[in-house]
Amino acid sequence: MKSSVLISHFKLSLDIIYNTRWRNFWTILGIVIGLSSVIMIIAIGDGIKQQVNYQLNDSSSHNKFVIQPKSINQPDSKSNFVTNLENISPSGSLNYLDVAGLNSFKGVSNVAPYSILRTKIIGTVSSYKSGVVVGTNQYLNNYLSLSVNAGSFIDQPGNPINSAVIGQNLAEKLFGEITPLGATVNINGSPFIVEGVLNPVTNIPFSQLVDFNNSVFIDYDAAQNISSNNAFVYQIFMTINTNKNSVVKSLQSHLDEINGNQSNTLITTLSGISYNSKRTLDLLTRLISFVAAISLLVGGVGIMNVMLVSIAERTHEIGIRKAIGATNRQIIFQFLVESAILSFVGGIIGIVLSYLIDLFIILSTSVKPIITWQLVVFASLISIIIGLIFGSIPAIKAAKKLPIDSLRSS
Amino acid sequence: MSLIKLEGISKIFGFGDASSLALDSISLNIDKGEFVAVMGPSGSGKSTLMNIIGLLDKPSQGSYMLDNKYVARLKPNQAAKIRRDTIGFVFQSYNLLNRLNIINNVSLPLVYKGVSSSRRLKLATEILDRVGISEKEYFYPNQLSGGQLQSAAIARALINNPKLIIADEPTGNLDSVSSMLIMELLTEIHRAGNTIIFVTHNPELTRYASRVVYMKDGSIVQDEVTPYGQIAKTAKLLLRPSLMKSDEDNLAGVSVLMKTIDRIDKTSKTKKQKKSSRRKK
Ligand SMILES: Nc1ncnc2c1ncn2[C@@H]1O[C@H](COP(=O)(O)OP(=O)(O)OP(=O)(O)O)[C@@H](O)[C@H]1O
Ligand SMILES: [Mg+2]
Repeated sequence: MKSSVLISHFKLSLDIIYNTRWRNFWTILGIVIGLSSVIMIIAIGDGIKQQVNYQLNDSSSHNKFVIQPKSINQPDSKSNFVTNLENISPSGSLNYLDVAGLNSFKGVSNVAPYSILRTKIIGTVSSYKSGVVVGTNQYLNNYLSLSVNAGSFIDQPGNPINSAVIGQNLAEKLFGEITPLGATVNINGSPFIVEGVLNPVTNIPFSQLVDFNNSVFIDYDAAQNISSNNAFVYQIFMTINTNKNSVVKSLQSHLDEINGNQSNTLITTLSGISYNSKRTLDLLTRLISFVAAISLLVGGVGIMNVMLVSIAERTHEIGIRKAIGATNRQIIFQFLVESAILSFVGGIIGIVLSYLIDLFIILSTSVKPIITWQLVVFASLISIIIGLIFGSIPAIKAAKKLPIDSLRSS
Repeated sequence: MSLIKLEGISKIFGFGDASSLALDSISLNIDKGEFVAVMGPSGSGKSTLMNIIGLLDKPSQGSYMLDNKYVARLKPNQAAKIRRDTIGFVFQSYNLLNRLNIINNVSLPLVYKGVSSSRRLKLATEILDRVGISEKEYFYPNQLSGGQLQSAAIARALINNPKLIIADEPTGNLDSVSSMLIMELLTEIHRAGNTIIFVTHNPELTRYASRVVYMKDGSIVQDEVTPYGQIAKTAKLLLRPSLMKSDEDNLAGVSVLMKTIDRIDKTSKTKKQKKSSRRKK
């Protein structure tokens, strides 16, 4: 087709689009909603996935191991590391183990107990009846990605036994400031000195994980002391650098012996645990893909509906155009141009809207949606293709009819 | 030389028991330069015939030669090109695109021909001047009167300089003054050399025609040549209750038309019978 004809078609299309603003408004709205819902759902899914992944990957390393009660990590168990600690019954705890003694076991080093105590915490500004207290030692940092914003982590050389490190949120709530170094926090009646404050930890959205931002970390022995040995040990982290298999084997039989030859505990690598969690992650990925596919369908149907509503009206118009000599190809082309313009405008608005919603979600929740350019291109292509297909359906349908049959519909 | 040559054209609508014969083996020749009026009661097949002649519809049977080409069984795109270049169709209900202004409506056929936009504008302006609504170029259809809309529709039909203009009840929605203006416009176009076929229910308008074709039940029952400026003889019979004023009177007029045509019908049938009996001899 000559370029002048192309331009004519384009100009007339603009004219026509302008003169049917109301109908086009709905068409564009359909595209905008379809497109931005697809982008947002995929972006939110990706964001959650990446946040979960980040937390797990950080601690997966080959020479890091963990002991935990079998009941919480049987190979097929659905519960896994940290996701639902709070639901585990105390009977599953590892309290009977001599945590300090493990350190002298041959080949084992950097043993870090992970125990949780729920008790009264009193600061200067406010207090908690049942705050989360994590009893552990300086090695915990090797296994969980915690970093200190101000001061130092617990149990550093020179620190008193009653030193505490607190999460940033809790610091603010208890003391009204982010770095209350040197302040005294009263835990279950005993005074502890704040030696450090954690950097904010990215939480897994919607999970029931212990929120480190709202926890106090103290020495494991101190935790047992102030609670008459009631701090429940959920996991014991440790490092085994050489002869991993034989060390794990002998440690396992040692544990079973202590336990009256019942194998109630399980030793796995941290990455082994992560492997377990990855299955959850994969499930999440599949769920997200499924939801995205549905939203794509819903978006597509939305665009389709708006386009189909105007078919009768458009069919009459096509009849007129054919009566004055338009060929089928010319009519289909014109409709393609028109729906391309509408889809394009709708696409742009949809993308802008997605970014606005993204911003809103980031500002108001802990979810951080990830909008990649690939996602934007993919979603836009889909919505434009749907727009084009359904925008030109009346033309394609009418192309098969005699002009008089199109003229009769109105 | 004939511009239109129909032979044995039939049109059946629907299938099986629900089918109806809208055109019953019609044969008709129209020469270049004729100005033909088509009359007949409602449902007699006038529009169906116009649609087939205008290539908006296809006959179920028969052959149609337009401008020396057989056109009854063309591919859609070939038919579209003939509609564009050879035929101008004027509808009773104007059929302008409400979303385009008048000048864009009028020049739309040129878009499909690939004419440049400046030339389109020039041609459309000329033609709108010719039909007398040049001051309405940039108005939209909903801002114009019926007469002005029909003038615009005629301008659109004219813009490709077609050999044939078909107008199906072009004055059907207009008052008598606008009707006259439109008919005079068509007469002018006819004088410029176009062949025109128009359908009307108004016997008065046969004054403008050079020939009147009467239809009934899908057949042509009478075909008369008539001098310009005079109401056709057969059509005149319809005017006998000459003081038609109310709707009732109009209905009376229609029934007179029916009777008249019935009469013509019988006479033509007897003629045919005579012919066939003659042939037998
Ligand atoms: N699309 C259609 N489907 C079925 N029947 C049709 C169709 N179009 C026309 N007919 C039938 O064909 C016959 C002729 O109709 P047509 O419209 O040609 O009449 P007409 O002479 O133009 O009448 P009017 O003066 O009312 O316009 C009628 O019986 C009509 O019912
Ligand atoms: Mg009709």
